Amino acid sequence: MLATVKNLTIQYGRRVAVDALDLELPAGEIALLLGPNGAGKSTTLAAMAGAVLPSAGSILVDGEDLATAPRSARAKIGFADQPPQLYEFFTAAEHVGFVAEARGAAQGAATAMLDKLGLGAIAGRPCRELSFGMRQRVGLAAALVGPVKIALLDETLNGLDPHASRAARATLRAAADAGAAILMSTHLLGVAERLCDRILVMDAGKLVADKRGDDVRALLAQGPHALEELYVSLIPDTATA
Amino acid sequence: MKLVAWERARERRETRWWSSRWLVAIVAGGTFAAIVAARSNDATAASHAWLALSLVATAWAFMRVPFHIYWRTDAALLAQLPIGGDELFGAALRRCIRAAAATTLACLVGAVPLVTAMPLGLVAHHAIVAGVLGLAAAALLPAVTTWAAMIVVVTDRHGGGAPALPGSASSVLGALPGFASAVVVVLVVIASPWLVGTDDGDGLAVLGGLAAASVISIGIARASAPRVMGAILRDVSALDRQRLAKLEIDPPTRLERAIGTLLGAAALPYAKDARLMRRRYPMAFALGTLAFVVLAIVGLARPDDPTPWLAAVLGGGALYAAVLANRLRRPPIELPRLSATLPIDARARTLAKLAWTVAWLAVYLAIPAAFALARGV
Repeated sequence: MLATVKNLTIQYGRRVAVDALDLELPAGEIALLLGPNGAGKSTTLAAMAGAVLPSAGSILVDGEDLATAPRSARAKIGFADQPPQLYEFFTAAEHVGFVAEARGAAQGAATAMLDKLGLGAIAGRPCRELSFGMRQRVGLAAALVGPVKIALLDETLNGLDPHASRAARATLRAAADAGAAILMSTHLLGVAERLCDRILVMDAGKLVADKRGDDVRALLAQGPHALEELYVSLIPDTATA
Repeated sequence: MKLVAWERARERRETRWWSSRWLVAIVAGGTFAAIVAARSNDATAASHAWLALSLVATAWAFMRVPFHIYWRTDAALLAQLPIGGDELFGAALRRCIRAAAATTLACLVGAVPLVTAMPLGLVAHHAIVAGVLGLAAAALLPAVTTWAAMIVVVTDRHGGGAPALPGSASSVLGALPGFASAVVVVLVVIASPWLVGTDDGDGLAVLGGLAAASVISIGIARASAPRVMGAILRDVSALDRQRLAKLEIDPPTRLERAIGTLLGAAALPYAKDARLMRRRYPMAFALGTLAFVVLAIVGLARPDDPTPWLAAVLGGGALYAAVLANRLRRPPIELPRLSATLPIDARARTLAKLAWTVAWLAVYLAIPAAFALARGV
């Protein structure tokens, strides 16, 4: 397993954001993390990236404990935060280049990743001048660049135009085919249906569904709204109830 | 809308007792007083020390004025809301007045030991200078700063919606208040012999003129600013978001590269910090150059009593270096959530920031100060 999460619990004061979560991510899999706002998806991703400290539990990255071997473990993790954490006064190329160098990536890795995501034309522009969708893509490029084995993406495909979305999906699939594990939260069920190998659903800090392989294929074979129906059946509609 | 009431509520939430401006002013004033007391066996030396420290404190208040008026973090939001220009300007002026009052309090507390060093009449001279400096910070600088913003807005209107020269617009916003601050400091230094009673009253005339100019200028600004205050906030926040301003994307300097080679694992975060600081805070280099020039001139001119100049420049420079060190730890220079996920040690990040701050202090303060000392100052 590339990532193993055991009994992950994260509390903000008295509020439990993530409640004793167990999760394993194998190589080559794209897992979609679904759930209502406030379900704990972003907190889970941030904790797996090392940006949030767990209150309890452990996170193993390619066999290394994130808490005790953070430097070597972190080189294998790419995290696209929401909103993307960009150095506003760097150009897109400089930002991705900085992250690539920190991870010990080969020379030219940043440029290659920007090109893959169709960002070559804006590589020389300061991040602060970029539109929402471009910032999302630069965040994705930074998350995937270098020797990343686990990509953790928090609603990273939101706000992308159809061409950019297609390029991003192709890049994610290529990364998974090359042996990376990808865990991505999203509310874009249409995108999820075209991309996922596995579907995880969280609610109130707990994992309430975990479908993979044949289950996912069978679910998606039911039609274009199958994922939405699954979601609605699992998550009570507290907004209009 | 009661903007001031909302601002008060926000300040109550944001401020802890230990960060209250009044407490900070008293602590700073106490520090001034200790330094002045250490020189109180010589009235002139004590007065010079007080003046130097007061000018540093007031220069800090001057520098903060644009942040009270248009470089507010909430400028873009305020500009969108249907709030009258009168109210916007009133709230901005209130912030300036409170900051100036705190600075004046620090200067007055710092002057207390002078009671043992000189007659009460001369102590009153110091209190008057503190008052004039406070008045300039509360009235003259806000007026000049508002005019700077009005120039930008007027340029904007003539340019058909976007400043013709965005880079120059940004310069006006910073340079005009900076120039006014320098004029005030120079005038007070010219008037300084009056503090110890060694002039024939010219100093009092200069100070009176400064006070009158402050009152008149804020009156004029108060009459005209409300009409354009909304536009000022909107245009300046647009510039501040740097949608319009030009950013120089330049490579690392030779000095930065040389320092980087000495830092090992900290070289990468240092290179990042150095480039970002140069782009985000160009004023750090302008003010550093100013400090360098002043110290070099002191070294060349060798004045009879260099203490005020050295204390003001070195004290102000050290204070500003502390501010820069703090900026190095915050966005947009440091992104804690991103850094936490990258394989860069916290120690390497800290070393990078320390190296940047030490290099700034060495280049702009230590080297010219060493030159001045070598010249026998």
